[in-house]
Parts: sequence; C-alpha cells; structure tokens
Amino acid sequence: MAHVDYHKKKFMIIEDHAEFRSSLKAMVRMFGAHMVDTAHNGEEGIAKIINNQYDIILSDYELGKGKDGQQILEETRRSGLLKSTSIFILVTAASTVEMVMGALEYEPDGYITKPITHENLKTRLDKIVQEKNLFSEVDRAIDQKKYKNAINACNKIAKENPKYQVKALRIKSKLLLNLEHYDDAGKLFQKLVDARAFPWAVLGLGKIAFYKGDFDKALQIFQQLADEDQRNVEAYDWLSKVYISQNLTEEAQKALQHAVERSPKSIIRQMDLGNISKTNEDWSVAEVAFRKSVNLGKNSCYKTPDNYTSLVQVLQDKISTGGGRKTKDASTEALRTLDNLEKEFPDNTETLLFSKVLRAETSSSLGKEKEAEHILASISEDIAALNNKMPEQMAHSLANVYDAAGKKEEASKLREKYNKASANEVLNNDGVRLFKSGQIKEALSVFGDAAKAPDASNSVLINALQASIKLMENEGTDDSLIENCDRYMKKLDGLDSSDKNYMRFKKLSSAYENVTNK
Amino acid sequence: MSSGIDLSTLMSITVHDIKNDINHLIGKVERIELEQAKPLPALGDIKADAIHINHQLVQLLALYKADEGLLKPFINQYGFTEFLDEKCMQHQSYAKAQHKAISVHCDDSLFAFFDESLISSVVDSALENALRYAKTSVQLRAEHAAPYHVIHIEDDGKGYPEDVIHQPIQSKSIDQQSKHTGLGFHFAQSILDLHSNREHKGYFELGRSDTLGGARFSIFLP
Repeated sequence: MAHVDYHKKKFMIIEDHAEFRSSLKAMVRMFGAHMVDTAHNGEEGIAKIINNQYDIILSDYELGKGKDGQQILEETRRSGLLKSTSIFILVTAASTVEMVMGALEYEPDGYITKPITHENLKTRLDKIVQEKNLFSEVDRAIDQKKYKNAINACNKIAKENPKYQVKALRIKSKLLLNLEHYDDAGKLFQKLVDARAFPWAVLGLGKIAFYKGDFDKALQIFQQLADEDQRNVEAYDWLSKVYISQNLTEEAQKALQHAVERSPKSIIRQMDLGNISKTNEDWSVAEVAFRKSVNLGKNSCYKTPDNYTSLVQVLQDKISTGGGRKTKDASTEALRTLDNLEKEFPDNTETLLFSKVLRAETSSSLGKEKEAEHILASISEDIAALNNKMPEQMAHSLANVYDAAGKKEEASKLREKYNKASANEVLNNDGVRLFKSGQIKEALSVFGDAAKAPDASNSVLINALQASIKLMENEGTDDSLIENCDRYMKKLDGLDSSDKNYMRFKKLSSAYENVTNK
Repeated sequence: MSSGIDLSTLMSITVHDIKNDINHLIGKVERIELEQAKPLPALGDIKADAIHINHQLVQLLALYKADEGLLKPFINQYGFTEFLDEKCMQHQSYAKAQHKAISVHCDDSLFAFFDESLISSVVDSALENALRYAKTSVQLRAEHAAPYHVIHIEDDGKGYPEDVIHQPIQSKSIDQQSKHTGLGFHFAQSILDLHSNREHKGYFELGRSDTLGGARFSIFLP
C-alpha cells in the first residue's frame, strides 16, 4: 500500500469513552498527525465540526444518550457543514457494520470495527484515504453542484478501475436520481440488478417505478425488500411514500411505525410518523412521535417550530377527554412545550402568534373559555393583519377555539377556507407527480384547475406556468396556452426576491420568452 | 427453565458483555503498548490472545444472530489485493513476534463481491489458526475459478489430519471427544451460506497446500 502522509491532516475524534478517546488520539499522533481535536459526545462534535474544517473525522457509532455517529454524519453532511471531500469514518461493533454501510443516503466513507489496535487503524485509514483520493474528482464536482461532471468522473472510474465499478455506479445512480433523469437511472439500476441483486439497486428500481407513477410495481418491489429483510428501513420509508400517494394513510402509518421501531433516532422518520398518525387521528402514536421529534431536534439542523406546535395540537384530545391526572399532565406538557417554543424561536413572529393560538386552544380544551377568549382578544389584531393568509395548521387550531367559544359561524368559515386550501394542495401534488412522470398534458389540466382558484398559491401558479411552457416547447405554441401563461405571470409579477419560488419564476420567465419568440 | 428467562438470550447478552469487556482490555493493553519506548513481546502476546478471544465471541454472536434469522450480509465489491494486504498487515506484528512470515499472492485486478466484515472474520480465524501451526510461513492467495473467486490461506505446518479433510462439515463442527468445538468451521459455513449469487452458494474447503505443504483453508465466493 502506498504511503499516506497524515502530517498535514486535521483530525477530529468523537468518542464518549475517555480511555478510548485518548488512546485513539495517541494512535493518530503516532501516525504523524499534529492537529487532533476530540469531542466526548455528538453535540460537542457537531459544534466543533461547524467551526473547523477537519480532513478526517473518526466517530464512534454508539455515543451513549445523545446523538449517535450516524446522526452526526447525516446532520453535518446534509447541512453542508462537512464537505464531501472530508473523510468521515464510523467506529462500530462488528455486529452493526451492515447497518452503517447499508444506509444509502448518508453513508460514511468507511468504517472500522472494534477492537481498534494501532495496526488495524493504520491499515484501515490508509485504505480509506486512498479510496477517497480516487473519488476526489467526483466529490469536488458534487461539492460544486456540478452533477454532470460528477457523473462523467464516475464513468471514468468505473471504466478505468473495475474494482471500484460498483461504488462508482452507485454514486452515479444517486446523481441521476437527483437530476431526475429517471430513464437513465432506471437502466443503470436494471443493469446492476441483472449482474447481482444488490438490495440498494432493487430499491432504486422501486423508486423509479414510483417516480414514473407505476405505484403497483413500486409497492411490490418495496414490499418484497421489506419481506426479505425486516431491517431494511428504507424499504419501509418508501412503502409509506407509496401508500401516502395512494391516500392509504393507515397502511402508510404502519410502514412508518415499523421503520421507526428499527431506527428510533431518525428525526425525519419521527416527524413523518407524527404527521401521518395525526392525519389518521391516532393521537397516542402522534404524541409519542412529535415528542421524540422535539427532543431529537434540539441542537440539530432539523430543529423546526412545526414539531412543537404539532405536539401541542395532538395533545388536545387527551387534555379535553383524558380526565383527571391525564388531562393535567397533558396540559402541563402542552404549556411547557409552548414555553420552550417561544424561547427557542424568539424572533419568529408567526410562530409566536401560533403559540398564542395554541395557548388559547389548550385553555378551551381545559374548559376555561374565559381564559381562551382573553388570549384571543390580545391577538385579534395580529390575526387580522395576516390578511387571510393564515398557515393551515394555525387556522385549524383557531377554528377549534371558535367552536369551543360557540362561534360556530366563524369556525366553519375558517374551516371551509382551510379545506379548500388543502384540497388545492392535494391537486397540486397530483400534478407534480404527473409532471415528473412526463405526462405534461395531464399535469397541466390538474395545475390549471388548481390555478383557477382565486386564492391559488404561488406554488400552484408556478407549476401551471411551468407545465404550459413545457407543453409549448414540446408541441409548439398555442393561443389559449399563451393566454393562460400571461394570466399566471401577471399574478406572480409582484413575487418578492426572497420568495422560495423567485428563482424558478425568473428562469421560467426567460423560458417563456424563448418559446413565444420562436 | 424455572426463572422464565430464555437461556440462549441470557447467554447471548452475556457473551456480548464479555466481548465489550475484552474490547476494553485490548484498549488498555494498546495504551500501555503505545507508551513503551521499545516493544514488549509479552504485551503483544496478551493482545493477540485477547483479539483471538474477541474474534471467537464475535463469531458466537454472529451465529446466534444467523440462527435467529437476523444476520444479513451487506454485499459490496472489494479488490482482493487491498483486502488481503490489510489482513496481512493486521496480523503482521503478531507473526513477527512468532518469527513467522505472512505473504500475499494476488493478481492486482482481482475483485469479488462479499460482506467485508463477515468474510474478514472468517479470514481472521483461518489466519490465526495458520499462524499457530505454521513452521515459518503463511500465505494468502486469491484466484478466479469461475463461477467462484477463491481465497486460500495456506501454511507450512503439519497440515490437517486426513480424516478431518474428508469429514463432512457437520461432524467437523462439534467433536466433543477432542474438545474441539469447531466454532470456526461452523461460523465459516454459516457466513458462506449467506453469500450466494443466483444458483451458486459460497463454501469452504480444507486441503493440503501445494506450494507450502501444510494446511490449506479455501474460501469460495460466488
């Protein structure tokens, strides 16, 4: 093996056990490393990674109570704090290797099994560093978001280094999916599966079926993977996605419950489970899932007010119907959660307002109508200032408060509006699916319907615009299409440059000019 | 059992705990070793023994998992040179202390599909075994013999007794009389059972080394 120079590499060691931590540090120093930082838990590790560019991170998988090594990897990679060119190595027990390496989305660059001796660590490190060097062009291109270049680099490796062909093609398949090149990705997965039934490639075939709208095939593939290996958490994630797209929410919940059982520390899964069980009005499951989401989200890039507000919403049923001790505990938790919410997001005015609405809802659920009314009175101006653009969830809670106060008319007005908005949302999602599968005309008819609503959201308008332009690019211009486009563009004209749809709107505007000038 | 606790669960938990204790012990030895100016051969021996115990416990746990249907391999592509070089280096200091040499013979372009950590464990115990019985040298060799890729672990010791070579695997496994549990054989077979591709299954074979004259342990990966 070629010699690797560790002299200039900056190391981070994350290990909860003091003795192992200092022994790992001593080992890498022996290999020539000068810059070696350590952290004794995931939170400290992440904080240090934010402030330093480490070349090599060695993290134990099991880190006691807090975040585990896989979560550190996921959070730092996802948020871009850790460059693709940095090396992340997980230290695992021999029995957890397949869990660590099987994770498709956030896979470490390598793993080292315990017990670690300096001989093992050195040979392993050398090997991982050399492999990382071989893929450095791919990693750099991904860091710069030049996915086409990254794909070319993968092709080159696959051709010149047959030993790394599968790894190169696996990365390529991920990139093709990112680029939404479903035909190419599908062909690649099929080629790989024909050679060998890699579970991740089979999963890929299922994803392609899903994106192309072949839900039966997708369901069959994911179900088969789940049956073959109960620990294939991703198969359950995708099963739930297919079920949700089919509006089979109870099946979706079951699949997610299974995934969460296997991987309880994944905050995204807990949030998904919370949301789906809330839809199903399975309050006890939703309660546990959102409580876990709030706890897992602390000091995390996934921290969002939604988990706090959702937890309080799903506690309402227990507060109003639990009785005695249950009611008391649930309301205490709800109010404490709102205290924390206000403390964690002190500058978010919409969140602070929602928190007040939830305080009013909690009072209503406790039967304290006077108190609820008092809170509502204090925020009536802020609510009026929202000018009919209230977030759905807030509207939902507010309607409950109106109901409890006997303001049936106001409650039903709000609900009607809210339901229309969510019906529009469902239409929009259907359209997106059709568009992604290349059924442009069908997608446009769905977007077009949704865009007719006077309060159609910007997302709906943009989607309708995009589908119209795409159709004209494919089949030539058409007067009625142009008329519609003009209408959408006019409505979107005042779009603020900070709006998430702004860049897309700018791009579509110039695409529209191109297509109409032909 | 009267206590109502499933004995095999109890044993697997205990084995797991012992394995962790051994890991801590190895960590301590490792630290003392790093603090020494000169290598202490006795310390190397203790470490090698502890690692051997660790390997056996890992195998025992893997067998338990396999029995429960919970052992699933993560199959990936690996270059044989890289894989075998690493194995060789990991056992190098022990081999040196025993005045024995390990060598790797492998075409650099060879690769195969397997679960690295599981096959690593199989090779580790074969290698530990070979180093124990070798006179002076052990060799790791890989070759392609379609539809299999084969890893041979060979030594220049006395070799396996003829009857062991020709015994079916089941009876190789447990031999109460000789006090030889055959954990390694049993483990190897369970792991290789999990390595199948289409109609071909993985297996191992015992024999005599053509090149070194001693024992040969061959792993066949489809």
